[in-house]
Amino acid sequence: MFKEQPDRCLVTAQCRFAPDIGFAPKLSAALVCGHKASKMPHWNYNPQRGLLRDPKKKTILLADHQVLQLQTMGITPWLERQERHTEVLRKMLAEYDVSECTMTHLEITAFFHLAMSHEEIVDLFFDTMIPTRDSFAPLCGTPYDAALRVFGESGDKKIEAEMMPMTADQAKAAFAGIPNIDQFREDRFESELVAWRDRVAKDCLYVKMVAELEGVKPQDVPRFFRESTEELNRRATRIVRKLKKLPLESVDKQ
Amino acid sequence: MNQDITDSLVRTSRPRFTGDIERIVTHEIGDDLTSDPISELVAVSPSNDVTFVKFTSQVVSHAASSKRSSAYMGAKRRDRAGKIHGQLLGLAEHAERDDFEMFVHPVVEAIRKAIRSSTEVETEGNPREILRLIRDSLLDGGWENYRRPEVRTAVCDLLDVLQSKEEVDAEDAHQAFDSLDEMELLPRPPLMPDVKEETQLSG
Repeated sequence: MFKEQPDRCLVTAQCRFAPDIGFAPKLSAALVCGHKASKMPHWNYNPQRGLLRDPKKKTILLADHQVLQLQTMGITPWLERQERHTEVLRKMLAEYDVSECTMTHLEITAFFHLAMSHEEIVDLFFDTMIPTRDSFAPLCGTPYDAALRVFGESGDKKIEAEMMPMTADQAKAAFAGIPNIDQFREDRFESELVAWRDRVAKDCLYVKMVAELEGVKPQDVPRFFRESTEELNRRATRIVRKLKKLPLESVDKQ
Repeated sequence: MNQDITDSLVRTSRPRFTGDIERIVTHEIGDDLTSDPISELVAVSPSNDVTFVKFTSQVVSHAASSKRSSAYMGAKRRDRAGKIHGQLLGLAEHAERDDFEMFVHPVVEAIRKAIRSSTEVETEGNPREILRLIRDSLLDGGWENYRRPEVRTAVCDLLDVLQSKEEVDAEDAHQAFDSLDEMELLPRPPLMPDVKEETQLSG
């Protein structure tokens, strides 16, 4: 589903590791390494934090003493360069002398446009994702909106799924609230960001999918992100199909 | 129903009398499009002057019209088809009963409701046609055929199409017709007398 609406998705890939008091030289070395490997044209650095930016490819990479985080606006910049991105993360982790990540985290946020009004999406949300409206009446009167957040496990991975029907205004506000979104600006008029915001600002189903795994070795980081991307995509497709009351089996056959 | 007396009469040229009564009757169409009568009893006191009673009927269709996207109606169709599918499967346990038609009746009603609810949605024409065919196969004693498991299975297969597709195309409707026709489940139109031949005979 992410691939069907690539320009309504945002990706955050994160590697967390134990902090080291001698991080300062490692951070700068990791940034130098990341800058060379990723070929991102813009950088910003202070002793606590470094930032690499490639606004044209809608990608940013942040590094501090315990986190490496790569973000893309749209899923295409992530999918097309996934091998390179994860390889950059692996190389930078080596510069930090990390033998094992405390947590690897992949988060894909989507504002799925379903050609339905917010009211319609809410109507389907009840009785597909959560019980019918009637069952909530004693708790909160007549329900007119809902949100759902579910935590689960898939093998060793932890999976989190958050889904919420959103009005155009809510989607606009949620988009503006995405961390570091202002770093994607291409020029001082922020035309790309404005186009994105306008595209997202429609009645939609907001879906945030997260996959997390503890204790991943740097050499296994690319595999984690590759497998998790596929898994989250499959699960997001199931969410949308479930909401639209379509059978889920066909997703499993893909 | 809004019972507030508005000042609309004040704006008219007609003189306003003390006993004038105005009522606004608001019909709000819900997403299920059910029809409900609204009635109100207004007591008009006897008086020497003419008493005007003005009823304004206002239809609020926002709720109904805002729930009419084809994607939404498609989801509702899949949901309804799923429920009808379940009802049809449930007929199996009553297939041997003499009053079998009593158990078929709710299925027919559910199909009718499903057809009605999508009447104004252009993109749901083919699903409606399939539902009409299934409905027709149940009428006029056609329910007797539904005692046979192979008939129920064949019709459930048609409902599977309605349940599993985002858009049902004309080919699906044709196939549904062929499938039901092949099993001789569709009512046959009465044969028309050959007018020409009859004329010759009487002449």
